[in-house]
Order: sequence, then C-alpha cells, then structure tokens
Amino acid sequence: MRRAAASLDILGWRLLLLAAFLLLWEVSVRRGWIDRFFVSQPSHLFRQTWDWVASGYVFRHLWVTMEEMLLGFLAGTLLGILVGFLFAFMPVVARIFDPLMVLLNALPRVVLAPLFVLWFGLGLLSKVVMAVSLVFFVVFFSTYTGLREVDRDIVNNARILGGSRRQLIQHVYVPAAMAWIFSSLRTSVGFALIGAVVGEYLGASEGMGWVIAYAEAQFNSTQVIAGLFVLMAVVALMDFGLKRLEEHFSHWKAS
Amino acid sequence: MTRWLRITLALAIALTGWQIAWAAEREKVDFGVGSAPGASVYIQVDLAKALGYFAEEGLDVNLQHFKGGAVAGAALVGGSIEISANAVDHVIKAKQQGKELRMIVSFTHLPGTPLVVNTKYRNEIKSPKDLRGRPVGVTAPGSATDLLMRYMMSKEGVRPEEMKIIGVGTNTIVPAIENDQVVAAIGVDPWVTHLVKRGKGFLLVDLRTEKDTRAVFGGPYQFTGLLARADIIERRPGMIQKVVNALVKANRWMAANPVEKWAEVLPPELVGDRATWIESFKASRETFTADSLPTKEAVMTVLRTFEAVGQIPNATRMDPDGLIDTRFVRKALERK
Repeated sequence: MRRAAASLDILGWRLLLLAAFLLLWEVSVRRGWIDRFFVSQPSHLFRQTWDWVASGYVFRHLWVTMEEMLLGFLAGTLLGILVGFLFAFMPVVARIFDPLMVLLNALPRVVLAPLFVLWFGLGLLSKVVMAVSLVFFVVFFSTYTGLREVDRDIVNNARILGGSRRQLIQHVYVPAAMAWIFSSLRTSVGFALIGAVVGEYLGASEGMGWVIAYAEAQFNSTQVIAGLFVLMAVVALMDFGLKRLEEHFSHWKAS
Repeated sequence: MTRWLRITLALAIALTGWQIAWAAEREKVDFGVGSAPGASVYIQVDLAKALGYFAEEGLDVNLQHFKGGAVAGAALVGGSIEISANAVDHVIKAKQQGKELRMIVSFTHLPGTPLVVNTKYRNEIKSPKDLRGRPVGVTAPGSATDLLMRYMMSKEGVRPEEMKIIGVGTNTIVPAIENDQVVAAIGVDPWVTHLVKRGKGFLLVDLRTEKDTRAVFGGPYQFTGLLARADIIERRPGMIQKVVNALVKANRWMAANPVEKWAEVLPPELVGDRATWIESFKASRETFTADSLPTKEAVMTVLRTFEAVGQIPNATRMDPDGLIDTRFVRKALERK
C-alpha cells in the first residue's frame, strides 16, 4: 500500500514537471522570449500531430520506418546472437576475428551511410543494412560477454552430473546469456530506429526520416519536432514491451 | 649581428602592420552557396570570384558550399551566413514561417535544371506521367528541384502518393542515374550534360530553354539569385551594395563574353572536361539574367507552382513585391 502510494507520488512529480516544462515552453514563445521559428511551441505540436493522425499521413510513413526498423532489428539481433555463440564456443575463431570486430565497431556508421546507399540502393535494403550495422555489435558484444560470464561452478557441476554439450547449452548457457541479451535488446531498439531514420534522411521517398528532412526544407520546425516526438513515442512503447518481456524471462531464469 | 636583428624585427613589424591594415580594409562576408562548387545556376559567384570582382569591391568573401539549397537556406535564416546564392523558393518558404528574406539579385529566370532520364528507359518514358511509381531524383527533399518535379508530374495527373521522389544531391546525380537508383532526375548542370554526353541519359524536359519552361509553367520562372535577410539589408546596406555590385558586374560580363571565355577564367578544377562544360553552358545561356533584375512576373510563376502542388496552399496571396528587393541592382546598374 505504501509502495503504491510512493510510486503514485513519483508519477505525480513526473507529470507535474512535464506540464511545467510544456507551459514554460509555450509561454516563452508566446511572450517572444524565444523565437518560434526555431523551437515551435507545444500547442502547435499537438495540433500538428493530431492533423497527421487524423489524415493518416503519419501512419503511412511510420509504417515504412517501422518495417525497416523491425527487419534491421531482427536481422541484427539474430546475427549478433549467432556470432556471439560462435565466438564463445570456438575460441580460435574468437582469437582470429576479435581485432576485426573491434575495428568494425569503431567505424562511424552514420558517416558510412552514403556508401550504404551506393551499395544497396535507395530502397528498403540500405536502411535495413544501416540498422543491422548498429544493432549487430550491441547484441554481439552482450551475448559474447554473457556467455563468458557464466558461472564456472555451475558448468562444472552440470558436467559432473553427466550433462551433454547440448544439455549444457540449453540449460546453462542460454538462460545465463538471456539476461544480457535482453538488456542489449532494449538498447538496440533505439539503434535500429536510428539506422532506419538516418538512412531515410539521406535518401528515401517515404518514411519518418523523409518526413523530417522534407519539413526541414520547408523551414517547418513544428513538423520536425512533431516527427521527432512520434518517433520518441514509438521507441518508448517498444521499450515498455521489451521491459515486460525481460521481466518475464528473468523471472524464468531465477526459478 | 644586432644590426641584422634590428632589420629583421623592423621587417616583421612592418609586415604584421601591413597585414592588419589589409585585413581591416577588406570587409568580411559569410557567403553560402546552395550547391557544390561549379553549378551552372550559381556560376556568377564563381566567376565574380575568379575575375576578382569581390576583391575590387573591397570584400573578403568567405564562400561556403552547402549540399543543397535548403541547407544553405536554413543557415541563412539561422544567421550562420549573411547572404546566400540560392533559389527564390527559400524566400517564399521562410515567409510562410514568418521570416523575412529577400531576393536582391537574379542569376537565372528559367529553372536551368533539365529532367534527365536514364537511356535504358527511352522506350518506356515519354513524358513526366510515365514516372508514376518509379524512383526519381531531385537535389533534396523539399528543395526547389523537388517542387519542379512535383509540379511536372502532378500537371499530368500523377497523385502525390504515386510519386517516389528521392534526394540525390547536385553532383551526385551522375552515380544515382548510372547505378540505376533512380530512373530519372531533375539535375543541375554541368553534371546533367556529362550524363547526356556519355550516352547514359537523355533530356525529357529541358528547363534551360525558354520554350520548354513556357510550355510547362506558362512564363518565366524565377530560379536562383542572391538572397539576404531583411534585417541584414537594413543593417548593412553598404556591404550588400558591394556584393550586389560584384555580381551585377559578373552578370554583365557573362552577357558580353562567349562561354569559351568563361571556361578560361574559371579555375580548371571547376571546368573539368572543357568540351562538355562549354556545351552545357551554351545550352544554359537563355537561363541567365543579363540585367540581374528579379521580376514580379517570374516570382508569381513560382508562387503559382507552390500553390498548385499544395505545398503552400495560399501562396498566390503573397505579394511578390515583398519577396524581392531591386534597389541595390538598380543602383549598381546606374553606376555605368
């Protein structure tokens, strides 16, 4: 009961701060303390978002971005987990390719984006590759670390009890790595979105990145910021979903 | 020994003094160009620089080249550059958002950006309506070329959701067409001519000519020129007048000299392959505004275009006279 009250308190504070921030923003623009041209204003943002939703304009573009993002997210995650396991169970491979991974991860992918466009065209593929290139490393490093951090005692005990390699992987390694992988998934959702949006921003005919680039060309800061808010809401929603999933899995791991 | 030291010291002091005086003499201007260097629609800037006209006016021009007009336009409104060679579109779009810019010199009164199609599709694409649903390139989303593309397609009944318009940059139009990323593009010269000359593209609509422009838009179409913020014009009219003088002089020089001469004057890296360059500028000659004056009529065509594609619903209600400022050009023209 007390805990519930405390969390309600926290929620109250959050809402209060948000309201205060929006109010300050609105008033400063209306009073002319800051120039609306650069920062827009909350009431315009709400109206813009509503117009987009009502006309369905935002959904058409959001759908495109989500498609690129999800494909990139899934492909990047699978690839990351796969290579992570490969590295963990084949130390020779890990030792040979370790420097390559570090070097590839050091590449500034956002700067590489124009090259991706040249290699993979202006369609869906270049955005997916962009997202994969960001997601892969986050998941890979987490999986690899997770597998290496497995408690040696548990592994040895399982062995003594006559566990086969397959059983070891299934009952010891995978559950142990799960927590690591899930925490990396929450980070990589954001990265997948960055990949998709940056790709669209550089060359596309639809998607939220295009919407934002187009609005920038019209000097329309309201649409730019509204577009950002829409993306923010999507990531927040996905993060919430993943968090629930993670809780579910960590519960399963603990038992 | 001390004598030498003294002479060196004296020389050093004299040299610094001279440098300070030199710097003080020349007025600094942050000048943004809405394209990679060497674009035909901004060639006045490159020529004025090469001919030393900016220096003659006592200006120290810091030229900054942007990826496209929209980026340079944003920098102009934001205040990181003071003047910009750019399309009049940005004056209109800024006005729509409550910011005052003016076009003070005209460079081109025809778009000067042809619609070029990959030769591969010669049998399939006979008019802009055949581009329905296919990827087509413009310099950047929402830029002046984007507007031209939208208008040409919508005029022939293509709906906005059937358009696949992609930003491919100015000089990067060459790989975009060659690698088949877009089937067609509205591009800037001399890069379009490069494609055509190498057999990779053909011109569908040549907006460098008065004939094609009139057929599409019904009249002259104000395209590029010099833009400045209204408050800078009021605050630094002296600087503005000097820049305008130099560019008016360049426009005059261009009208008086053959294209071959332009190629001689410009730095060789801007000209590249001389024959192609000359060919492209000969084809563009009709676009250049010899008298440097932006006209109400040509600006009105742009406003009508904005309204027709629905980008600015009531654009024609804007007063074209409030978008241009010809005082400085008139003064420059009176000088000689």
